[in-house]
Amino acid sequence: MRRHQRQQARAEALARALDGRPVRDDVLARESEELVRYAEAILRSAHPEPDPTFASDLRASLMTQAPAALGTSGVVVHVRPVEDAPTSSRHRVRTLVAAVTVAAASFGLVATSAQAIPGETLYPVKQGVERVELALERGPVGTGRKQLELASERLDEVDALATRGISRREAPLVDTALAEFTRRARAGSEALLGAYGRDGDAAAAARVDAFTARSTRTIESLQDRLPASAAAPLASAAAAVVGIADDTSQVCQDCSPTAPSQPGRDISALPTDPPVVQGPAPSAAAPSAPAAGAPSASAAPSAQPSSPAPTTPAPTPSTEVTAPVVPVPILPDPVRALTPLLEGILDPSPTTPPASEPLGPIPGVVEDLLGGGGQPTTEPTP
Amino acid sequence: MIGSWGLLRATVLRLHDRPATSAGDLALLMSIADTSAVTSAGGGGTDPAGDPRATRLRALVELACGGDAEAFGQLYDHYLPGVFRFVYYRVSSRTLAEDLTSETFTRALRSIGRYEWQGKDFGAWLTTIARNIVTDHYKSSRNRLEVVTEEAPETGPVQPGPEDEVLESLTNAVLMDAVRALPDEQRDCLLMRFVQDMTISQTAEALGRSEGAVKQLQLRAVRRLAREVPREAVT
Repeated sequence: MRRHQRQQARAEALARALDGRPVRDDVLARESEELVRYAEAILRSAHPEPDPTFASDLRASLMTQAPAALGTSGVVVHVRPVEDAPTSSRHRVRTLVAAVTVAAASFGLVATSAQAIPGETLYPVKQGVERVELALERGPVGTGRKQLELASERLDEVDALATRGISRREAPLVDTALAEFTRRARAGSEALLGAYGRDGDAAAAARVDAFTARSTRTIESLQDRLPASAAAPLASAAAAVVGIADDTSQVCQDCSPTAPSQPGRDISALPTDPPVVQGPAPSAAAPSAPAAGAPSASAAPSAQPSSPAPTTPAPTPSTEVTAPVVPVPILPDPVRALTPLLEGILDPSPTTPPASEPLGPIPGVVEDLLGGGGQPTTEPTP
Repeated sequence: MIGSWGLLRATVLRLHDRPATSAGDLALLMSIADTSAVTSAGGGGTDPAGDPRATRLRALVELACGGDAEAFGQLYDHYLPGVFRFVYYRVSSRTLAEDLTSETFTRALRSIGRYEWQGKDFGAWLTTIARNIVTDHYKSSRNRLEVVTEEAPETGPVQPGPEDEVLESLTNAVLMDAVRALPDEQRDCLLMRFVQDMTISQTAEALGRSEGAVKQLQLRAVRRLAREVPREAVT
């Protein structure tokens, strides 16, 4: 009991000291003074401020939503109708016209911003609208779907930047967009796969599947069009897609692949040259390294790794003749069945292609990232 | 802003080792209170009744509840920094913090009609929303590690510069890491009190606890911090 009272007295003393009020008990005063230092230190350390652009964009978005959310009509939210003061019809018309004009202008701005890419004036508007849209989504499926949409949008923006040409000043924009892609891709797929696991929502899983296929194609197309500084974020993005495909295969074993073979898409057409997108440390897992370092995969019969052939998810080893399954560094077979393009990227049989067989930079980067590096793994696939 | 005022007052008292009752002390406190460290906190401090700022905030809340969008915008301006920092120190990722902060204010906008009868301080109400959103985020995902490792948490401007600044950044990082490692309720209590600058009463409302319980939480949290973080890091 006395201990409890003492504890209360200490808590009260600290609260008083933090408020700058005197503490009568000398012992408690000294103890509290010492603890106040820590509170002060936290106060001093709390630096992060919201980015001004983020703050203004979110404000603008909230103001756009406010009339509907707050139950006020129109855009003229400051003008409070004066009761018992009948407005003339001319005034009402003028107000209506003003409201419609402002609404149209706002709508036009928002609509135009949808096409904006990083670095453009309207891009922050687009981001603000996206945030509000995301916040308005209900439930994990809606949120997950939106996250994947936004992830795809980021990748498309990078693609658009790459097509247009990326200046040195714009390079950080690419990194930021790729990082956001990675984060949203993970969050969205996680929500959708979770929904599939809980409710058996096949559409949710199919959406993830389609997302991985589409993202794979875009990432592949980006590999030789981005500045060197983008190597790491691009590798992270690729690794995220790989991880998502892996998760999909584990959670949804019955999912049918939604990535049909892409006409004209041939992994073997990837450049043999060292990756154009070279990270700061490309040496460890250079794309060519696996060829020499994976003898265990030599028997791999995946003679047509590039062929986006498998049209059914069934891992029927019809073409697999030799027995031991090739040690796959990270991903199991179903992943490869899931998206043929990923199969090309993640081809686990590094020695299969002859030395001249082209292998794009991304696989090397991914393997490096995932620690595979083309070396035989110590965990053979069962 | 009672929290900041109290801290500032305690700091000055400690530095000068004398009672802060004179007009000179008051002027000194006022000058410190104008520094960004205090004015930018903006977490939700509600000054005592009669304070013009508290009165203004109450009026804004009433207007917003009545459907005034601009009033909500001004509340947003006032509370954004504190809410953002609270979320940021929970998720350690600026982009994720921006998303969750957006969600907090969007949800607040949509449910402000229900605010009045809940009878909570507006800052505490916002913080409760933010806290729930962050909790939901972690519940519905298993990406804790991904988030944590996505960005190095900011604890100040870490730039090459004078040695003192670098050291300060490092010690800040140590301190905030220790805060993050506290048990959930203790951590949130400290974030609300000293990052958002909320009062004991507001913190109690946001946490759904009594003021006495918050004082105990605060004591346990700070004492634990004092055990984990070297004293030199905070002096």
